[in-house]
Amino acid sequence: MKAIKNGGRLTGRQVGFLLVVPGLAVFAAIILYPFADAVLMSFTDRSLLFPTSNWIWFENYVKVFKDPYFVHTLITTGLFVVLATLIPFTLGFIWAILLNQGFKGSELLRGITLVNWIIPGIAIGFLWSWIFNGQYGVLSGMLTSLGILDKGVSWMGQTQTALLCVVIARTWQMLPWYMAFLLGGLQGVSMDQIEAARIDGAGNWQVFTHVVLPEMRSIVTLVLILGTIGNLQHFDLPWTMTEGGPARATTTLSIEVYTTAFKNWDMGKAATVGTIWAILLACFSFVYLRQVNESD
Amino acid sequence: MRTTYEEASGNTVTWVGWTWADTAQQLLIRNQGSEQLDLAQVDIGIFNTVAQAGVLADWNEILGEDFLKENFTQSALDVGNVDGKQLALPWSMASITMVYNPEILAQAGWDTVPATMEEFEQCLADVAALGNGIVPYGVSTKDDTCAGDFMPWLWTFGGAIFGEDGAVTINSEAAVECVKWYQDLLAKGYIAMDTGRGEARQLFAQGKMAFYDDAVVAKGQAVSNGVAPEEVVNVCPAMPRPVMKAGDQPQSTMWGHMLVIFEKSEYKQQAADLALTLVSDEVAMDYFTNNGMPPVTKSASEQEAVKNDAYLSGFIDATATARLDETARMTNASEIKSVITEELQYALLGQKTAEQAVADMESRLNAL
Repeated sequence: MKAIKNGGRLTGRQVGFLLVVPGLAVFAAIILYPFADAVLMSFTDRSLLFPTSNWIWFENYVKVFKDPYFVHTLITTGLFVVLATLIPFTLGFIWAILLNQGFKGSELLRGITLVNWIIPGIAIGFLWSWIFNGQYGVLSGMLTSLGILDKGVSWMGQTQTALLCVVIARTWQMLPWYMAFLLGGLQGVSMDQIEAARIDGAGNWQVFTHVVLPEMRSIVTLVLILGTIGNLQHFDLPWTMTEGGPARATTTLSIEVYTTAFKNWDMGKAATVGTIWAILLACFSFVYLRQVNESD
Repeated sequence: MRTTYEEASGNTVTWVGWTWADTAQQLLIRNQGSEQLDLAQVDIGIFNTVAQAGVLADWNEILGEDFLKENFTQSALDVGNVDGKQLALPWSMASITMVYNPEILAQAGWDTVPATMEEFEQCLADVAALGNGIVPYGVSTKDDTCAGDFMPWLWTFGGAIFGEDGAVTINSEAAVECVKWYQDLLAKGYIAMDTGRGEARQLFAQGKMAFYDDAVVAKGQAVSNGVAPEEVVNVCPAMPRPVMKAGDQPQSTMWGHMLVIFEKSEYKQQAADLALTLVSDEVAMDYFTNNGMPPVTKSASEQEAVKNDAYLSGFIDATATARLDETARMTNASEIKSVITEELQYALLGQKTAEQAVADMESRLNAL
């Protein structure tokens, strides 16, 4: 009616809506529909073996939450996310601080550091599997040559070390990503404030904790949230290196969904685990979006 | 082989590929997505899963029952027969048994292969004493091959996953003894964690492993590592699996590859023609020479080169008493194997006792 009142012209709100429609259509087709379909599938006994399925309400959810191994999967996922976020974040921060000193060759080093991040995850998985192999791996070979070990250790074959192996590989992969973000943040820190703090007698640690960190609070928060979301979704490295083993020691939610769907053919249960996983991701995404809005 | 068919028929064959481990998954997804698939290669382990999805055509209707019986051995046909329907055409059949490195055994003072468990353990001890980073026995302790390797040892100890009535029977004294034996081998350093078929093949090829379990295709691995086909028998010969006491029957698992045609295929006859090219004497003998895959047609398996092949004879001996993998007729074979692998790993890593692991195997299998 407003358009008619305006002599046939569209209002600003209407133009805005029309501009959003193509994006909404694409979003609905490639994100909303598959997501809604997966959520609905979680209430069925859908199997990859048969084309038909039955509505079984919350049976899959009951089955998943009653499964003692699922609790273990949640704990493993949490452990992986915490370690695979905090370790590369810390190392990436240290590396960013070093590169931020602007010494000769720092720009070249910055470029070289990014190489890890460019290599496909599968290739990194195979590379680190070879390093950690107990029989012919580089790590065992080196430690045996140095006399630290009597014989090779199957690092990925022990529950105590398997997850750590995957975390180390993930750290190697993601350190450049953290470094790039944090270096950007460091370069935005006011040098005047740092110099003022030093004149006041602040040491390196005090400058870092009282000047640098507060200035980088929003970027640090964003990087940690994005890192957490990325690790919650991560699949390549644990699958390539250990396939979730040994004895489920590296079975994260992503591995659980994959094996349930494509090894056990139980699409309904896989969709259930996937929905729970999506809810967890949504919590972190909500925090992320709120942080972005606050930053703006 | 594809070009042989294309040149002879004038038809064009397009192929889609994926990693072998993903075959069942790919076939099921593509079928549910109504993708036009005509002919596929499956192995015994996944055949029934695909067959139970109801997507396979009956070879009896395509080639005729008489033709099949005339050209293939009944035992090979039986493997691909489900409820009277011939849903798979046999391509290569043998067994998974143990292969050994004669050189390492000789160094350890063994001129003959160990025949009993007692001899086998002594032999493993002698090999371990050689040092040099040699892993005495590359039994699989990870991925899908772990449960596959565990099964014939379970049978050797007198156990089974399922009873004749289909009930889960793995929680038995025999299974507990078998798991304890695995634990003992690991504690003594005779076997290693994080070892799958791939790792075992690599270490064996490097002369760092004395025994491991494999199918006849072990020959292909040796040939690709530069061993002449006729020399393979001296490098990785097959042997009967050791038994509890002399006179017992050595255990091995049936292994084989089959060809399936899909019900939705618009080109069933052409697909069958391609399959017949693949199992023809010419192509089958080429595979046999280079990979060791034994032919299944009566004409090819009667050839002197096949009958007198020293490498193959070890596998054929094992095949005579080989049993079908206990999960091969289950639609959820992969899930069952995952449970067995996980519980065995718990026991091997000391997180569960053998008794607890076997009890959990049974309760988890019953819950599936």
